[in-house]
Amino acid sequence: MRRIVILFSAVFCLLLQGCLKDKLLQTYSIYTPVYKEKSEVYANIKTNPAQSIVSPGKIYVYGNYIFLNEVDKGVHVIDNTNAANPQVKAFINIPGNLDITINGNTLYADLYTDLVVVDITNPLQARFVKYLPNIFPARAYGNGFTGDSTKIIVDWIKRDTTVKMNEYKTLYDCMACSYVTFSTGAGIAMSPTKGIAGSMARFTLVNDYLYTVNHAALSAFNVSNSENPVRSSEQTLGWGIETIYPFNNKLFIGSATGMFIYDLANPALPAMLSQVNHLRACDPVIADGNFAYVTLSTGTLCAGNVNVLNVYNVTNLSAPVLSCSKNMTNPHGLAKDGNLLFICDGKDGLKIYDTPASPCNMQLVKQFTGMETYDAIAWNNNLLVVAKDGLYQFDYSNPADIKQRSKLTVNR
Amino acid sequence: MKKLFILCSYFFLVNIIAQAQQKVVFSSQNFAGIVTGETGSKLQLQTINGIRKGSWFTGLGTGIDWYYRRSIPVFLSVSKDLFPKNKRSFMLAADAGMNFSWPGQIYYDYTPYGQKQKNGLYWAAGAGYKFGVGKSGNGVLMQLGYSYKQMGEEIKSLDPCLIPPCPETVTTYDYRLKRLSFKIGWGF
Repeated sequence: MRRIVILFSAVFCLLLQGCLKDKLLQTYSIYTPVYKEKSEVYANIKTNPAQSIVSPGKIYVYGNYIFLNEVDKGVHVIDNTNAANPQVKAFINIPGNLDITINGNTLYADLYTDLVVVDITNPLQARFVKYLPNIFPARAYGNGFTGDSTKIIVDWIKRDTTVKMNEYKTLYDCMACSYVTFSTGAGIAMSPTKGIAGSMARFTLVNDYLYTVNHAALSAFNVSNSENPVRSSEQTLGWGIETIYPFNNKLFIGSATGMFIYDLANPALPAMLSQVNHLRACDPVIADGNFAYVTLSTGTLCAGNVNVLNVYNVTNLSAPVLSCSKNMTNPHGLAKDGNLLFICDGKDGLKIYDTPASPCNMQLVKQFTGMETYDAIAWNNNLLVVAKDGLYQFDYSNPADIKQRSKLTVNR
Repeated sequence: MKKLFILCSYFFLVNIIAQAQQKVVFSSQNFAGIVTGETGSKLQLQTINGIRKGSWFTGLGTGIDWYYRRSIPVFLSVSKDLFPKNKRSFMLAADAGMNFSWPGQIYYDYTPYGQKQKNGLYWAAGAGYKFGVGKSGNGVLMQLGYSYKQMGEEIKSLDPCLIPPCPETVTTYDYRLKRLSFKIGWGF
């Protein structure tokens, strides 16, 4: 009997030895670039038929129009005459576009490394005017893909692929091997001839100057001749520059490590007034009267481990003082109108606070959940919110009864 | 796989009918053991509860399997004593069912933006030996066999960016794990 057992076990083991190899399959997407001639790309910067919203980025309100960035693709032109029923009217193809701002009849947008100027006297008949090359040198394509002097990447073709993993890898090992990295953004600050962008904006207009930030620098452009912007200065601020917000002839700049306040006494060359440091985190900033509101969040390139709203007393702009902090879930963009403070708290949705004279005593008056929010514009009792699943609008004319007006759904 | 399962079920039913005259009793098999494969050896615990009729046993089994990723197999088990009249007897066993991922487990040194676990097939087959103890049907059970479990996960991560929404990266993993199984237990 013992012999039988030993023999049986030995044969069994031998037979199975070759069958003990695990099979680990990894399925991921590979993106390959689609190139077009530069001349063809610029010729196509014009009003094209409306397209579905797939990947909403930053928003900009100008008159009865909403300009909504489609990440890395261009700008949706939305007729918002009836906020309860906004209509996507047209699409302006601007490959590599993340940021926009409007000065009168002129739209400025980034096209990867270039700044493009578009005439939107009639937004439904937009016309390419000119481009300034290499204004945003850091806006490379990623993962080794580059355009050349004659071509621009206008799209990416996605292809799913399944490979056999040779070893027991985790995604962490392979994050960089499977993808072309898209740079991206979302966001929104209006004067009668300008518009309103959000707190995530990286372009802003103050009087005759356009200010832009990239990851490390602040640039000023004289746009007194709106179709012919001229760069007047560029200054390095340090790594991790994220957002720019104008208030009272000052610029509030959010970076991964702090908030900068720049004075525009000389608009051609903004001068730093002060800087406050905070824990490393992404931090869009807005200001209102004597206070600046900064949301610190994690989960992006900014790293860090803090998710809070910081309120700074900026009565003395040369020496901002942290008044208080309020814990949040994953706050991104924010907007303020009167006493109402709107905070896009990531997967926690939209939070609306009543901020009395002392904002540190703010009270939550309403929260909308079920949406992953990124940025907001509050203007004229209409709140625009960019979320992962679409563009929402809310009526906040009665703070006690804030209602959703409409939603333009993302069509992924 | 499906055909094999149908075939096994067919023979099992035929045998049940053939032994219709024999008494049906509740029976339980409870095992602890190891599964060993490319990623090493890990513990497995199983309990199978069902009915015994003559030399046949069938039951619904579940347990915990720690191999590679902890999981919960749920399966139908069939086994047969080859020499039912002896106190000590060889036996054959086969299991087939589903392998469920352990809920809420994060196996990475970072927190994915989103994670969805996937379930898969589970099956095992083996031969064993029963040392009868005490009254009929009770005994120590030893089984050596081959065991397969499949599981997967979908990991979403955010590509680094300064300004959200950062682009999402979705990667799907499918783990098909083949192991040698040795288990020892108590049956009654």
